[in-house]
Amino acid sequence: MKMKETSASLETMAEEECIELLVRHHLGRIAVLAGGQPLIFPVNYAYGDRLIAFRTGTGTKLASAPNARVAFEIDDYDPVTGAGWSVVVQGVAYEITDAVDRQSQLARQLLVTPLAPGQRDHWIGVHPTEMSGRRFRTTV
Amino acid sequence: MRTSKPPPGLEEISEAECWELLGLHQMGRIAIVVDGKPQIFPVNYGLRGKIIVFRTAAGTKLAYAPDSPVAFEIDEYDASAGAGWSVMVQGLGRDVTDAADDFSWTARGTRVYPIAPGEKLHRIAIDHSVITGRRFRAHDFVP
Repeated sequence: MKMKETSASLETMAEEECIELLVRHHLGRIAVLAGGQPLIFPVNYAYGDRLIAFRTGTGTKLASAPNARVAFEIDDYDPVTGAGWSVVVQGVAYEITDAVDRQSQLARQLLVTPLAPGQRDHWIGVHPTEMSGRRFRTTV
Repeated sequence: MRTSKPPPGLEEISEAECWELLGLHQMGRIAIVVDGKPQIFPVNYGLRGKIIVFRTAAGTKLAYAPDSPVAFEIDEYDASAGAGWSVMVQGLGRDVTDAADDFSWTARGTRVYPIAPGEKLHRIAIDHSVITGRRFRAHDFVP
């Protein structure tokens, strides 16, 4: 079980940098629990004012996410340069389709265009409680 | 616990093709349950037969993945082609680092090269129960 020799670095990102990456990207993955079973779905999202917002139809995400603890992740890896990063968020999800608070209204104004087709009339907002990010570089 | 049928324009990927896609990629995300809450981590993985294997150091993944329900996901989106897909595996996590059963022996035959640095001496495998995949194209987008 010998490992490939690598020279590598790993650094933790500050929260400001995590937020910057969340703002710049629009494809992430949400992890929810459905009856004790974790599930992962890719979603198109927007981040603004400390809220991750995405749209969904009636389905597992709408049934499992609202008022529950969820996790959210974005990442990127460039095999040519060997550089990669990931941001992981833990938080609480709420349905914000009809919510009238300022944060929810702002989130609905952010453009969230789902890539996948289908009716997606519901808005889910994730309030982050913890956020962490790491950046790594590997030379194989 | 099957999710509902995909809407028109969303194409389901067959189980065989899902495994094929898993065999062609090396990076995915694992979701585990920690104190009743889901957590998600990117991992480099290897595939042997229908066993997904990743390496980890002592930590959250090693503490909470074994003998617990987990989910594993890979996806790809090509902005220029306007096409994307995702595959999700549900199953049970198993610590196959030292165990002598057939499943663990098979799992240990997988080559996994973690990209992120650090000593990762433990191997976790996924004993799958459900695999699903879907494919979508940009011209099907709903504004």
